[in-house]
Amino acid sequence: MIVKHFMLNVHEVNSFIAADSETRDAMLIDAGDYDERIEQYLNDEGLNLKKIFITHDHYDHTDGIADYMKRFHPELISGTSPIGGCESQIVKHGDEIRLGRLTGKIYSTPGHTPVGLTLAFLGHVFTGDALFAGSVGGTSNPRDYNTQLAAIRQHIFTLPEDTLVHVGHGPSSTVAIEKRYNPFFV
Amino acid sequence: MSNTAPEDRSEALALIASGGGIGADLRNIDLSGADLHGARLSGANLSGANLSGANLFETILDGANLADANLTNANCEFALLGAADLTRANLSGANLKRANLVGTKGHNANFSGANLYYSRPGNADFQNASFQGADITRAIFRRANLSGANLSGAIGQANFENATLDGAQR
Repeated sequence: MIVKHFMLNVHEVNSFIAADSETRDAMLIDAGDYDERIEQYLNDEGLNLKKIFITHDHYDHTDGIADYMKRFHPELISGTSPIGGCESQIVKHGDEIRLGRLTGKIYSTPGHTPVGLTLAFLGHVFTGDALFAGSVGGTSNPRDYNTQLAAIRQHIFTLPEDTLVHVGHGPSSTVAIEKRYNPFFV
Repeated sequence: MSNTAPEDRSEALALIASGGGIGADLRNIDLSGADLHGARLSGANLSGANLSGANLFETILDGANLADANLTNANCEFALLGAADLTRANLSGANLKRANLVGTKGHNANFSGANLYYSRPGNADFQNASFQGADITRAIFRRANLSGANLSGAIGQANFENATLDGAQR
């Protein structure tokens, strides 16, 4: 599996290209802005952008959707529709997403937003703003905070410990590090 | 995990390039100036290694042993150093912008003049470490242990929520 990270200018938000190294089918995970580097990378690596997956409906993760849709015509997948001004296929907890030979599983991780999704492939999980390295995404009340932490414990911390955790802002981590050292959980 | 220790720099680089860096025995190896960006070296033993000036951009070093390693002026931006052992490591002048240092152990480590902008040293143990003259802007030292650390001349506003700063110089 190919995973390539891009930090965008808007709020230093992260976008990721995930791809099947054999079929070259690719997915963009979060689209805070159109970025020429992403298109260049897809071209250079011979990757075909088949899907866009959005973790949650905040502008720093969605404002680039329309541009990518216009240029690549991928399938848009998220937990809400419309999103970023585009109609989306809605997925929910437990659904699976195929990407070439790869299969990703959707987990519901709300709290930061009412609908928040995490996408897990073998060895890699994309959490959006639910979980950060050593932190968690902001919530607006104690109930949402507790909901978010419970979802992370139940769905992310139960993944294999060496799974790389790719987050919406800041550096990546691992399940083991976040379980053992994230100050919000220990 | 690799059981055979590479004998020299070229063997070590070949091992890492082939994906064999996880848990590798790379003690005291000279990788100064090497381009290791994005490599996975989880749990590797790099104690005493020379990584000065190395490109460790997005390098995955979770749980690695970097005790007494030389990382002066290394590019560790976005590096995953969580739960690594940086005891007495020299990171002076290193670029640690947006690095993951969650749960990292770094007693007596030297971060003087390093750039730790927006790094994530939550729950790290940096007792008696030196951050003299470092840029700690937006670094998140939440619940880190900075007892006896030297933060004199460090620039920028960092988050020290619930951090231990007993005896720290500021």
